[in-house]
Amino acid sequence: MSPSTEKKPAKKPWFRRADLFLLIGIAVLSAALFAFFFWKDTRINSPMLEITSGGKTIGVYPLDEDREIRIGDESHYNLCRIENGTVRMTEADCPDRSCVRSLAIDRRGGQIICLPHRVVLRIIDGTGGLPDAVAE
Amino acid sequence: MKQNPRFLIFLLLFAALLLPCCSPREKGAASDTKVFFDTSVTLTIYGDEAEAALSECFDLCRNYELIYSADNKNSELSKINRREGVEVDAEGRSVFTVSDELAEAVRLGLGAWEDSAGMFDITMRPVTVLWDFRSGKGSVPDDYLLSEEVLRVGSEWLELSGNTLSVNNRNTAIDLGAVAKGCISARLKDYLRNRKGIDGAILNLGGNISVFGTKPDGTPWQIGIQKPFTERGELISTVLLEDGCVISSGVYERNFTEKGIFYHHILSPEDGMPVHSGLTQATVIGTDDALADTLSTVCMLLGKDASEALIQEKGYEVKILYTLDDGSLVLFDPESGEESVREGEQLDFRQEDD
Amino acid sequence: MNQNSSVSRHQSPGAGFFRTDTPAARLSLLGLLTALAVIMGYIEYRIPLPLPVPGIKLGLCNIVIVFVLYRFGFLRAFLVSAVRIVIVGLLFGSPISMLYGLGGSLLALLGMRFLKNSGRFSCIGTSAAGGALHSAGQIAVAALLTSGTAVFRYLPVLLLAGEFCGVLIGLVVSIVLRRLKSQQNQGII
Repeated sequence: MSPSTEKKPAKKPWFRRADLFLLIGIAVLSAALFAFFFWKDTRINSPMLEITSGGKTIGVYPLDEDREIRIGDESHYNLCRIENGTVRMTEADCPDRSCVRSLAIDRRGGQIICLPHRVVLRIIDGTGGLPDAVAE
Repeated sequence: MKQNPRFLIFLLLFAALLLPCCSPREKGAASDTKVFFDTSVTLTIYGDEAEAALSECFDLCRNYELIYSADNKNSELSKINRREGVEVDAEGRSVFTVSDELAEAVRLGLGAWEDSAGMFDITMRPVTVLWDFRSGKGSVPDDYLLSEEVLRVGSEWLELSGNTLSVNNRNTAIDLGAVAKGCISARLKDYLRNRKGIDGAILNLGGNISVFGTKPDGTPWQIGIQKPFTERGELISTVLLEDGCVISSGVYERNFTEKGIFYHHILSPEDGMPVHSGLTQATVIGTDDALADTLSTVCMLLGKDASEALIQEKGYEVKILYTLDDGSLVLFDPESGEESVREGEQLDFRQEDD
Repeated sequence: MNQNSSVSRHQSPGAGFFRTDTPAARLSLLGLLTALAVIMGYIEYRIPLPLPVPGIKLGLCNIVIVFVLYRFGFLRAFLVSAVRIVIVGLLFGSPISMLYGLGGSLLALLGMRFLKNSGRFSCIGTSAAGGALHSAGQIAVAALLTSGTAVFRYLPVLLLAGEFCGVLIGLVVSIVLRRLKSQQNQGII
């Protein structure tokens, strides 16, 4: 086998145009993720609606996005609505319906409680999230 | 001649590669988890010198394991249990000269033994080794064996004077499991407090949480208390704290069920069987880590009323959150007495004068 | 320098130290390279990373892995990497660190193989992507093991750092490959 026809790896240049795109691409992706987390953080620190059922937290929602949240199942249900930064209980099939008649709550704080269903709608501020550690 | 520039490039590259370039360093914070004392230890430290302090703390943990661990064959404690290094004192008794750390732990253990009228006992090792709570499918030890080993238990055979410990019964074996973590976290906290460049830290030693100082964002430490028999993340309460510890002891930590009967790891020195004191969990919030660690076990052993009386009598500056067997929560403060607590409530124990 | 390039000098596929003509020679060379990777793993172990992502490591070993990838191909690179991870895990790490290593390594190698075979990327670019993928793989393993999404917060920085490391590693491997080639052409090795 003569030297010139022997298989050898093609000589590669140090750096190619495709490399540059790749490197920039990764950097862009990284920046995008960073921005995403940054945005997420700023949202977490604003007041949120916390919904607990039977003492367990079943949802935390931001107040700036309108939405309707259904809690419970067919037999015991509550319907609450976030609209224009305020929270109201719009429907419930509990016996006394005091939760529906309650005043709306907003970012300043407060809570709406449906006692029969043990559902609590509460405004929490951003830091009322995960604990730093759990003692066990 | 042509080699030199390239050699230089190699050197520079190699030096650059040795920099921990593939990872960021979060400014002013360091955290890591390692296994010591048969549990997971997570230390999170804030401050300009956090990284250095973190590795120093783990070095300290390594040393402490070689003092307090009854399972580690090279530790000071297991040497004592094997009666290695025993000396004879002026009165002809067999004694050991122990380190300050070990002496402190034994002293606390004996103090808790007196407080609890003998229920808390650091010489329970012959009995605890008969039970197997770790594998998840333990078995109840044989009756006869248990009654035999229970006879070996008794802190009355221990005498501590300064750094001199005498063990007056050749069958006694010491286990500092209920005391060691508290002693260690107290020492780590002292070390960090006095170390420059450290703003604050949160130490998690197998579930014992100890905090001091401030977080970078200035908010107080939020420490959750695990709800018994639930998945991680379910809490009975969240405690706000600035400087102190939260130590919880409960029947849910290590247990197994055999033939429908539930057995847990808090054993009575009277019969070597799990104790039934009406409590599922006892959480101590205080500033003295070592005391809090022993108290959490003492409360579980004595039950709510007896431990409340003890704390009142001794004037211990702690607060206890009891989780009763029926699921209810009672907060006890020696100054204001009992108070009922709702699940999920946040308790503010910051020492602020508002 | 070019004195023998036109003469029909027998170009052995790396005589002496780097010979790869017989399976035995290849095996021993790969063994040596694996050992080198283990040593680099030891160096990594001595430089602790204070991140709450347990098991995450520097990418020093990848110098060897990328070299093997370019010289011996994907399968052998993966083999060297896997063996290295197991040994390092047994010697200095923990079983968990093995999982992280395998996850990051696998993802990185698959990506690098793809890039290399496309022919459009140089060693530096492939290695950079490998570095980023290595970090991403480790994060993915961390997310699975801790069943939490908090670890993803480290992605931005780790991707960048991995990319940077990858560039440096690619540079080193390029230089080594070229040097090997030139010495082979000169019949030195």
